[in-house]
Amino acid sequence: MSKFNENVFKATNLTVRKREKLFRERGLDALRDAAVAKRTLSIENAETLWKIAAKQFNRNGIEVFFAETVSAGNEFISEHIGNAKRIVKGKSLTTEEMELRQILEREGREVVETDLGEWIIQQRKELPSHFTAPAIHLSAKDVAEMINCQFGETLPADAHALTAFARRHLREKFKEADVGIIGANAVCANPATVLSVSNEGNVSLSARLPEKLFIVTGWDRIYDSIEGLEGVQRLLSGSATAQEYTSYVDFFRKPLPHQKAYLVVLDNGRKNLMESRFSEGARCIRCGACLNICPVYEEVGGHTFGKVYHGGIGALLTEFTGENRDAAAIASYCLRCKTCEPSCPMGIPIADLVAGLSESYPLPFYLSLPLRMMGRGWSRSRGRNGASESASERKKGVEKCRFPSLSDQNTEHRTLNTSFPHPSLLTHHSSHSVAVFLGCAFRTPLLKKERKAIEEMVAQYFPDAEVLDSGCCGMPHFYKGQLSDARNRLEAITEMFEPFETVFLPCSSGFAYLREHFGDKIQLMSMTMAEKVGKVDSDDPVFYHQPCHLKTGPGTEEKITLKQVISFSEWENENRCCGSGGTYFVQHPLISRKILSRKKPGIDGNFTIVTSCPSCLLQLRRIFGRNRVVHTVSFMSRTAHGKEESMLNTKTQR
Amino acid sequence: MGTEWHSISEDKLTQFIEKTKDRFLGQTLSSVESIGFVPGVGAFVLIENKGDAEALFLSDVVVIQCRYPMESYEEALAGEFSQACFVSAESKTADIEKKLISGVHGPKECIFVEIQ
Repeated sequence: MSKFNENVFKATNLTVRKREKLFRERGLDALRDAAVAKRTLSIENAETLWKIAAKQFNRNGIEVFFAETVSAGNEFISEHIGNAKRIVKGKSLTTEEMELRQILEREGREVVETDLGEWIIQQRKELPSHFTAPAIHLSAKDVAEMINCQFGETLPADAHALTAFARRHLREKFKEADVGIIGANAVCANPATVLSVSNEGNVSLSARLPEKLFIVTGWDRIYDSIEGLEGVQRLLSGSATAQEYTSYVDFFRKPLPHQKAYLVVLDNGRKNLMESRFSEGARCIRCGACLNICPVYEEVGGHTFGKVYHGGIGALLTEFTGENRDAAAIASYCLRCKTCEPSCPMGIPIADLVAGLSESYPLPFYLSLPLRMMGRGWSRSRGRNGASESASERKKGVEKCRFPSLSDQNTEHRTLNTSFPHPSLLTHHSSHSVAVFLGCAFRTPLLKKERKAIEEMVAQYFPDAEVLDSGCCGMPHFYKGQLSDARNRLEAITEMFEPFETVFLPCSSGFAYLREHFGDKIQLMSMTMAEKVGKVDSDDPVFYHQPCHLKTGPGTEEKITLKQVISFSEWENENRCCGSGGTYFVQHPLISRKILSRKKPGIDGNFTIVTSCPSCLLQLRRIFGRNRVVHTVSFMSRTAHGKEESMLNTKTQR
Repeated sequence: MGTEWHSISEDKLTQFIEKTKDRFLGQTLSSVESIGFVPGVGAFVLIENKGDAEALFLSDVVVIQCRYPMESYEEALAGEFSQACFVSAESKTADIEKKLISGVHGPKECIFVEIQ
């Protein structure tokens, strides 16, 4: 584990904890619906709103320029800067996207980043490694080494001393600057107002001391009115830095008397994003909360993604503002675990959007070799070409499902090869009102015990239920971007589920996925079982592992329900992602393993970990061993059968 | 160094500022007026020229006079102005190892004075 990884891990975890505390104490989640509505409305009416804003700004003395492309924006700024040589600049992702600083530097100008983190990475000639904390990957020692080396100082690795040096150095730059460049977090159309948040005061100084001011923003930053703008700002600040208000919220309507001011509004694909089926992604306010909580980001940091925008949302933004090839590479890192979604103040369904985006990616860029081979396995599992089924199997309607289809060192020789009847064969006029859909994972020999336990529990507690043993729900296809495969499977499932009022699933991921399509008809087997089996005793501590797909929606109730019958021991890693991600352990085995290693600390001795996700279960067994990790239903079956045996013994004795 | 809130009567303001100067001896101090404040949260300060900006952002210590309470800063946005800033704390950063440091560019100390 490199020191960069540890710096990122510590910093993101601290921010997540502080953010959760702030949102809980200040009730900021209550602002979310109104903010999302305001943002959506503004995005839908952006064209009109920008016309209103531009008219007012121009009248007020701020010249507005709409740049369709990065080069148009850069040319406008370069031309209007004129002969000025000394430029101070605030942090702005839009200007990073434009590579504005580099372009102005190539023209022989001195451009000084004034946000402390941004200034540090400028000296190190690096890209920002986070939306709001560009130097998050660096330690005080790294910063001290840089300053001592580049400025001939002998500073200790102490944040106070390093910041004091930056203050002295940059204060002079502010005073000497001819031009200031800042970004904008929001632009209100009426009254035309630019809003910019900061903590350091560098935005306020960059904007007001120089004689020329350039405010650079994206086409998607527009809002209709000031009503509710404070709510958006509180969500932004709270999500970004765990502060309800940053130290400074700056507002600009007119230039100061000594100034000439410009507002540069960059499109560069934003309009396409806002008009596309991915338009929910345009609500992103670049707070970075999704990065702080992302199990992949906290292990690899921002530079791994290679571009300005990181994480799942980074794939989406890069797709529309950058190169398709880069977006595909970024998308490949996304676990589709949805851990980020509850943190997004704008309610963006990031995992679903990335899945949709991945549909268009050419396989060589997007999927690793093992996963491409798995994809072939999935294609066969549709029975499209029938190549993998024997003639007799085809006759019986048996289809192969390879999930995954290879067994090698990356998968630690795990394989879920299995075969089952095609869903259409099970579509008949059932007399049952309840069904249990086993899903694909429990066909693997590795989960033989779990399957047996589930079948026994079904026989005991759902004697009238029909067991649907017919393969995959299509979730793996969906999250890998194979949307037509997912749709085909969903159609078959819809037909199969049609006769039943309720369908129980032992697999939590399948439950979360199908619940979105079928609503209350889909129930999680463990939750219903908990109400039937009564108290489950265990001599050893029992820990709960929350699958990521149960972090939103009705699945969040699973632990509460289970707690009625199982006495769980508390575990700080309970909600931490295990890195399985269905197939992620094949695609990025090293990252998956790193994520998994974070689950380990905190428990020793004899214990049991229970979870409802078969994929998590197999992943957790890699570090905790086969016997210590069991499926929730399987765990409950122990006691249920124990009680039966005990009653039987009592009767025999009598 | 950080942020403080005080409540005093109008006739004690000059005395309060003098005492604050003594307290932060050797450091630059400026006093600015806000047009409204959200109690315990921050104050809305108009910036109409370069001098206003220098007073608010270049001193080591800034005293912000707060006379008109508001429920939120949106109330101030309804009025007319060229530029403004809602100040809620001193200049600070956590860019190096998440350590909170006051006074990275602007004032190290921000003192809000609620005037009765």
